[in-house]
Amino acid sequence: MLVASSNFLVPNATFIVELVAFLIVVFILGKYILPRIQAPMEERQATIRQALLDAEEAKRRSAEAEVEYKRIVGEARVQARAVVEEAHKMAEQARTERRQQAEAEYERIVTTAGTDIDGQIRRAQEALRQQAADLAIAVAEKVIGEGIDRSAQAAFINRTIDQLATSSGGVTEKA
Amino acid sequence: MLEGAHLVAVNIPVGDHITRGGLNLDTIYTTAVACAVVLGTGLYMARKATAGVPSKLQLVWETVVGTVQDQVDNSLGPKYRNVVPLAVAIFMLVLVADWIEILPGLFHNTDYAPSPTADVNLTYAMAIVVFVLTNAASIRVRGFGGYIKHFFRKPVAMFPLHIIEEIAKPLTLALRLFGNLFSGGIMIALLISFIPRFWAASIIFTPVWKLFDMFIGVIQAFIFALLTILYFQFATEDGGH
Repeated sequence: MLVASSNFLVPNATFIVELVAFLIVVFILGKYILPRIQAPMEERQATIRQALLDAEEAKRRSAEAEVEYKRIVGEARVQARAVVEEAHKMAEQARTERRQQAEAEYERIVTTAGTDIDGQIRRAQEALRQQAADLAIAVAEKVIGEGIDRSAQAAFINRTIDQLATSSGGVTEKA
Repeated sequence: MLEGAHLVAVNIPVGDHITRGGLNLDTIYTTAVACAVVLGTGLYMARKATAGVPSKLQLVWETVVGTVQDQVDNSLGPKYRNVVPLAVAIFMLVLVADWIEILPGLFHNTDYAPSPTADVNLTYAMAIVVFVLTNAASIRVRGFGGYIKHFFRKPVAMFPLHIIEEIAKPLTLALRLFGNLFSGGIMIALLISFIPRFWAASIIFTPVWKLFDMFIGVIQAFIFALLTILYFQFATEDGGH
């Protein structure tokens, strides 16, 4: 069975079998195998191309968003500064108003207190005057030893005190 | 020592085949195995091919097809995409046929399976197909008159060389591949025949040579496919090469 060919560079009938086998391989590869490899390959390449384009678009959008973000942050800072200034202004105004109200209240309390004090002084003076008149009449009754007209004497004493007060007031005013 | 080497050399069969009815059965058997591997993996992968994440098998096929397609596009342009199946078939079939040599054989040599590319019948068959198709492409592009005329291009006195060159293309294509694989088989047979006298060297160098043979197989498959594409380029470009 093992045969040494006369010249192994010369083909024999095997050539036909090999030729047919090779053509069958080419046909099946070209008809059934390669189209089913090339289609997914091209689809994947298209997907990758699209992904790259999408990534490029996302990068561009990201850059735009960053610019927009910086612009908004800048505007927000300006607005925040304006709000703070407005708040300071309002606080200053409120402080001024409160101070004015407090000063007015102070003036009112002081005035009321002065009025009360003058009234009390007047009432004290009146009481003092009455007591001085009663004391003078009592002393005079003891000295004279007889009864005197109390109402006439009281009117006389009050007149005298008024005169004294007037003269002392005039002295005071002169002083 | 020299006598021993002489005895070893005598025992190596060179160009012998298992024949019946004028057919080299061992070559046909290994060719069938190579075709089955190429078509089996190709059809299996084509059935499962996806545009999503590819399997390792699909990745291998896509790498081969993509490389060949790029080469065809660069050399011939996209309108010659019909060359791609031929070049891919050549590359895959030659690669698998070359690598069969590293497997243990079933016929007259149980130590290695002779590669079908170590028989001129397969390499001639592939070269003839390339020769016919490249010349057909040349006639289609140039017209029959232009095809004949391009053998008589200037300098006209060189026309015998142009004809010889055209004939030499398929011959060199076939014999280059045959010679590399044939000599690779002889080297393996030689290394195996060392076993009785130099078993250590044989055990070390046989696997090393088989690995080197695999590398040669890749190179030869690549060269055959690349030259096929280049011959199409020469045949179809204006004015020939």
